[in-house]
Amino acid sequence: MKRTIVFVLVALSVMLLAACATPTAAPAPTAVPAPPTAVPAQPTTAPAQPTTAAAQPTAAPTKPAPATGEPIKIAIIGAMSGTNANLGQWMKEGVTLAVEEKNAAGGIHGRPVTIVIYDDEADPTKSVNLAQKVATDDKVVAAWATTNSTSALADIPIFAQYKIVQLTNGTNVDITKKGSAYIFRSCPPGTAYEYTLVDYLVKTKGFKKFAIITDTSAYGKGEAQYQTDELKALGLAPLTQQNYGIDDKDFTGQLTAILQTQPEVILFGGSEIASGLIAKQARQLGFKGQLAGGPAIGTPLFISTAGNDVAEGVYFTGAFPTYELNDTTRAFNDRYKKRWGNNVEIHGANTYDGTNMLLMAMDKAYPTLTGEAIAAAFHTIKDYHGIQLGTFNVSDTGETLASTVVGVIKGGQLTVLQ
Amino acid sequence: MSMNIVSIFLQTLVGGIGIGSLYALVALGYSMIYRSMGLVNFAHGQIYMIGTYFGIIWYQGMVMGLQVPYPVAFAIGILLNAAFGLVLERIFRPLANLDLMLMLLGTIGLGYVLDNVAVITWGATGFAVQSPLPNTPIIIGGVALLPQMLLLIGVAAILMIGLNVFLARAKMGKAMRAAAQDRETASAMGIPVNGTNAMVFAIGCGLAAAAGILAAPIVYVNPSMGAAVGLKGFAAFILGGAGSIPGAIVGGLVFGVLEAISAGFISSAYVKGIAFVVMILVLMIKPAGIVGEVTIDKV
Amino acid sequence: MKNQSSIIKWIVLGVGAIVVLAFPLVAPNRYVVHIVNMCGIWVLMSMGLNLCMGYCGQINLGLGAFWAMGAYAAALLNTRFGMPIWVNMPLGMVLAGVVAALIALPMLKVKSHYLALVTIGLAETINIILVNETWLTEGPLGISGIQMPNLFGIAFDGDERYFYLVLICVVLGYLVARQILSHRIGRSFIAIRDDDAAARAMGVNVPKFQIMSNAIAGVYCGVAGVLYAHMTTYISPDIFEFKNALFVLTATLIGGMGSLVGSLVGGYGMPLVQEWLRAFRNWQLVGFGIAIMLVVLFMPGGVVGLGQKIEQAGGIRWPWARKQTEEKPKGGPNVS
Repeated sequence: MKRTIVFVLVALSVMLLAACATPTAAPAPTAVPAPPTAVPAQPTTAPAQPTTAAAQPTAAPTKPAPATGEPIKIAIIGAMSGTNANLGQWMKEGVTLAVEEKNAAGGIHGRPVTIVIYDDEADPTKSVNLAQKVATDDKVVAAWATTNSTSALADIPIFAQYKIVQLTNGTNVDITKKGSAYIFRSCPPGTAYEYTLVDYLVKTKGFKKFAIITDTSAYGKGEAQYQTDELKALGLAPLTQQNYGIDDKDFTGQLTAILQTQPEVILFGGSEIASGLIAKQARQLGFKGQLAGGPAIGTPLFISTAGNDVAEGVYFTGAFPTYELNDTTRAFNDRYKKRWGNNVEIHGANTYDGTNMLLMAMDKAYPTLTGEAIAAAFHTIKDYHGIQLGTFNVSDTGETLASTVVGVIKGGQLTVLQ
Repeated sequence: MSMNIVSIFLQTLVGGIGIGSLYALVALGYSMIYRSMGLVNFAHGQIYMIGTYFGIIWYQGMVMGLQVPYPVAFAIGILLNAAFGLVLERIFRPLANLDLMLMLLGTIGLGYVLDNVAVITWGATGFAVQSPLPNTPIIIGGVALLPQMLLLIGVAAILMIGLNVFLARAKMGKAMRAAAQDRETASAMGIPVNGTNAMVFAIGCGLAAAAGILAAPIVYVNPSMGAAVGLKGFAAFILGGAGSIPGAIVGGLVFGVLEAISAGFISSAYVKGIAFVVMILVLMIKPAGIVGEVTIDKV
Repeated sequence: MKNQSSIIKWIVLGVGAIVVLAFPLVAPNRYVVHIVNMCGIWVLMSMGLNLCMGYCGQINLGLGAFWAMGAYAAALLNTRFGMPIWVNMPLGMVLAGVVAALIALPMLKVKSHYLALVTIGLAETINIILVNETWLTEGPLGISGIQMPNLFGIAFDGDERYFYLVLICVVLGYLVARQILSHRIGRSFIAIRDDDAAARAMGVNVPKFQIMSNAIAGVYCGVAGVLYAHMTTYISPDIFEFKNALFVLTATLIGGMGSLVGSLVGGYGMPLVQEWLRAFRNWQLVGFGIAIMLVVLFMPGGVVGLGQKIEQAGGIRWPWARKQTEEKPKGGPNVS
């Protein structure tokens, strides 16, 4: 009897708690000590942007009045904590900057864009739950999801089901092969990075003996696969491929196995920090050959982890090797640095580009601001020039940028090879 | 660069001993805390992480712009973490002789707290630490020895030997052993049991900080650095025999070498799996661990 | 008097049932229902853990692996062979149960924290296999495109409909657990937990029941896994990391280890509280951690234990509880 009462009370309180649980959660996004995340444009931010408008890459509307209409919601789901926390931070910075600039310039026909941010800890389960949340609870029209390929893949069916535009800077090629009309990638796919890199190393530099070291995530496995594929296309094969878990910090075993095969080049497939540590340890074990890698290597984080000495001479590929490329990128970096206090790197740049394309699509789709309409408008974007090098042409599958350039690290700086 | 099988093996071995020394120090921390109050501290990985931050922030010049030399930062980190340990011991005293599961839960709670306090204070993204020693390896007989790694192994060895001597000879050390083994008698003989337990706990935390600060230039410092190391240190602690000091050392080194050898010679992808499987086999043969459990008086 | 209290009981039960059944219809949005469904899955795992650890004293932290067995079985059978859920469910249960039993076998002599470690280690090993054997499991990319179930002609697509499926499983799970506990098996479990040497001396086949309790935990987790796979339509190896097993353990401890109601409380309560706290992220998780520590220090029996204490102290007097209701035996867990 008592048991039954308790039982029922439990059930009732659960239902109540559930019903009350989420609405309170929705409005207040992750409390980050730094700048505000939900950005309805305030008059105070307006003066800052237009004065540096000299070389704005986006076609900003000429209205200087800040946006005041009903807000348009978008979400960011990404790794804000844990090993991948950097990625989440950069995504937040790039997206927020683009949105703030747009809002200051009048928003979408007078309506400001607001952002809610969630931390999926690079865990696909959490990511899927959050995707559900932003779709049904927050009711966003577009979302960045996410910083990691595995989670992005997991979220695709959900955003497709709820007809919400999904943007990601994950590089795994499968992302655009799932048949979704709602997914868009803001950077080149992994194949563009790795094919360019391998081509350069084999055809231009004449290397023949390669070893690959990568992690066991979707990203790492993907990059290694593309490297191997291109090597095969050029008639070569990697001498060995070694793997490590994402949280591993000591790679002596893997490196020793690699060094046994006496490669000329060690290719990195994993992420910034691990690759930086591996580079350090490889040099410490006496490896004198060439180090190279794709998206993760052309980043200041790789350099700071490896240290300038170790990073010297390392080859990388990317669409945004450094902000010193041209006037546009320098001006962009000025704005970025002013807002966030640090120089911009590739993830901040490509999320900025992606958000600007999204905003363009919203402008085009207006006044029908549904996910469907925005996605359709997005697909029509052609010949767009953003911060990253190259021309953006949105394909049917959601690819936007198809090429990368080769660069080398000199003196602790990322430089482009001419 | 000559690479014959012997030098490859030695190289792998050195790497294994290096990382194993790290695990050993962490395992020692678990052991000390276990001896102190029969508590298995599942938040020890976080204590390792906090201890690292406590020390490294001084070395990186993150505290009011002051930058201190590495050995000073090392000492500060250990002392701060040990002091923190004293506080924790006081909090956990009521937990000391409860069910394993309650201990587990209490320390899980502590883990949550420490994880998030670290993120709030220092941010979720971490930073790389440059070694105070030169980065060029010392090559002996075809084997490259990294100075920081040598430092880690060396200092760890000194700490471990020092601890053993302390427990065996020094009056305070003997008092600690007595208090762990038989609380009532020890108390009757005038040993301040609570105070000694607190010291033991503090030593455990200090060791964790030492491990982290030594390893920081090799690995990367961020709030999640404790998770993986905590689990492996726990495995080493159990493998060697819970509460046993030599056991923790042996367990840590064995675990580290096992990992390095599996990565180098068997399969880098299955490293964790192989290490755990071997460990389980050992436990099946010797259920109390390699060296054997030290019985703690649980009233 | 007896009639009166049983009428009240039925009314309360009826009202409660209506509220529960109507929940998806009145919930503010789909996401809330989704969360409650996830809670149901946690509850199932927690009940399994409770039966094995709370009632039989067998520490088993390898829940992640059993959950994985169930989920991957369902995912593979569904995406490769198009098997529907009513085939996947029993197969998943059997697979998970067998794996759990096999894991238990070598560990009969191992105790306490060693046991904890061994079970963690085995689960980690299975996790690694799942990640690396891509020919079987698609590796880190995971398996997507699992179909939502279609039973008896009703398509359980959408969280609202799925709610009922989960509810049925949770209720069945609870009833089955009650049955187990009220029979000899249950008493043997408790005897083994309290003093296995004495149990052995009294002729209880201790190893058999140890293995059985582990297998049962496995089966419950297998059910949870199958439900999970069909609900989210995507699984990947990251899902089965140790931290999830730790979550279930924490939820069970807070709800009350050694009490099935504790599983319900903890399994539904903790994830919801975490959801609620999501808005405040770091600071409130700090509070959460502190709250857990307080629970341990002052409420070792979990929420259920607290309830018992109040009851035993004669604190809250329910108006329909007369003194005739039997007193729970002191010092024992609440077998409910």
